[in-house]
Amino acid sequence: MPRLEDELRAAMAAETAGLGAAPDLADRVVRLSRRRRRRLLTAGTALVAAVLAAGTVIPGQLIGAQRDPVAAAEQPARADADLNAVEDVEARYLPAGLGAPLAGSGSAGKLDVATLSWGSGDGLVRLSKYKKALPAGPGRITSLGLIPGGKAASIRGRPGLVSPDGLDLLWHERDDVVLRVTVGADHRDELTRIAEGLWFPDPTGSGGGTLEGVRIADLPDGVYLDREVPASSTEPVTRKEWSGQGGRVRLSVVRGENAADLDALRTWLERTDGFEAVRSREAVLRTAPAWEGTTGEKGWGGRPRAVLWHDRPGLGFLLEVAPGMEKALDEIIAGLGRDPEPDDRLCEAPAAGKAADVLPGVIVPRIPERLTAGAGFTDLESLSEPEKVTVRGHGWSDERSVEEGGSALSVGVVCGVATERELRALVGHARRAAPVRGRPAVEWVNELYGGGRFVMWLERPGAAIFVGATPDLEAEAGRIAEEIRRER
Amino acid sequence: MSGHEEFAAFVAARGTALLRVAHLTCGSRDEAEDVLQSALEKAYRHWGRLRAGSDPEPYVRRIVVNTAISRARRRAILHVFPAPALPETPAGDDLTGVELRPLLMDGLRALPPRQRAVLVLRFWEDMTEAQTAETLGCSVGTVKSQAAKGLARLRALIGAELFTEVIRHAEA
Repeated sequence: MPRLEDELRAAMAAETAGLGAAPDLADRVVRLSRRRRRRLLTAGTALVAAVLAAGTVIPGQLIGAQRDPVAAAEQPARADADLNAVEDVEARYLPAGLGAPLAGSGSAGKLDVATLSWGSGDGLVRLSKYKKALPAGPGRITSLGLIPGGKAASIRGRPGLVSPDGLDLLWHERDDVVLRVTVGADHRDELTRIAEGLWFPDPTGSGGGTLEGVRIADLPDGVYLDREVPASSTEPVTRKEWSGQGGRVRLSVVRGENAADLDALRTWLERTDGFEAVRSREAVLRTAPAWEGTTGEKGWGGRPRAVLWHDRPGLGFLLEVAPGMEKALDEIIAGLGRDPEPDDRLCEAPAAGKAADVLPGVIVPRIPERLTAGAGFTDLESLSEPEKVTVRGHGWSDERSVEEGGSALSVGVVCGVATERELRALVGHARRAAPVRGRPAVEWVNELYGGGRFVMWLERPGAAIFVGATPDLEAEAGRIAEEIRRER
Repeated sequence: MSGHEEFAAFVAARGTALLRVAHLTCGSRDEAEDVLQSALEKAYRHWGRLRAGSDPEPYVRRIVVNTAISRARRRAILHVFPAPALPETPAGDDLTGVELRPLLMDGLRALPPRQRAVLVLRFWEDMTEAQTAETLGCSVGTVKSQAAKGLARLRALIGAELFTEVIRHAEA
């Protein structure tokens, strides 16, 4: 007997039999793509990410310490050299109307260099990334000889040099990377702004990204990733460091017998990092016992403030901040989460056979009796980029449709949202709302619910919960948002 | 062959097949052409990163389907997906499989975007549940449940009795 699936196949075949792609489709796509790319690159205040991809070295073509060291090696930038390349530099600000860039690469003295530049003469904007073989120690930025006679400057707290004419700015972004912005006279006033928008995004995620399964959602403003140093035989600790005008932060991970328990961890850090306990403190990440104190690390403008915690046998952490950042220390700890968190079921797939009609891990409080439960759903139409997250929700309604003046209420979980910033970006027209049980929240009006209000909050890094309803149920939805709980 | 030539050859060979997927996933020809063009633009921007010798079609198909789903969701904010009006009176005994097809397509268009995409990938593209899950970026469990729900809704839309009648005719 023919099945519904077979009839559906036949229906699809009949429906699409007369379709054919236009003969000039490929050409049209290429033309549009190029036109759109030109517009993107001249978008000015829009977020423009220009990648300085480390290209092939072209020996002998470049000479260091010159204003235009790579001009001879420049080629039109590849069409695909655009957004989101891991570990590359992103420019968050470029002046408007620059046109298409030229990409260059080569070597300048002992340094490899990659550049992206627009225009020439007074209209020049050039971004350069130098890497490898930097001399160590104070004054190393000067010793490179790239800007003779340069004066000391600071970009986002990084040491740098600016040329006497104010058109060339060079700074030490990381241990092995120096960045440089060179402009013509037309862009003199924008030199600093371009430079301050040029940095490495953290490839492990927004905020402070992740380290050894811990997600650092809330870093203080004005600190930027310096480096992540893996454990080695001489230094059996993995460390991740951030610094900038906002201060200095370091998270270290201790594994093995040195972190067998809280006492072993504390003893070991006392010996290796000069940890001095001041008092025990409430558990970190809900369950990990912790000590608060200082460490003996030099060069932080005093003894760094620190918190150590023992996560589980064989795994301990030490978080340090510069003196004066005590409030930031508490905020960083409050924003820590596990990635993924193993101890709740919010983002678990529904058990086999239960499909999407259940909300694992959520204890939903009392629903108004006049509403009856409808089907579960896996789409939330308000999301701007639904492909980046997964949704599981459940709805209740009375007998009438919303268009007929009926009542409807929905509760659900959005998985794949790690930080408050990502939460705010989930729904394009959402605005910040009052926190829900202390958690950051956004709200928006949902036309599918007759203009009713939806609120969504970051329940924990990785998962947001939303509640929404038609206008007549706004008070009930507010109560449900306050009373809803995670199942542990 | 240059990247541009490879891209043009790919579009010439697979453009129509991808247009059909786009049409079934988003429900209208105009929208499908727009979705396909937009998806091909995205693919073209990253053409150089596709591994030499690898088949770009799964990558492009994934963009097509997910673009169609995104657009359908945005459109749904403006007007709740209108379920097509089904016949007020029961179909007569002489309904055949050919006459059932428009009903099925109307039913398909009335499904939520992701449910519709699951049915298109499973039963038009003949993908396995795992392939469908990979294309949509969801779990196999979601594909199973969405396919089951989609088929159930189609059955409900066209009416179980009507469907049985049609099948009986088709066998006759």
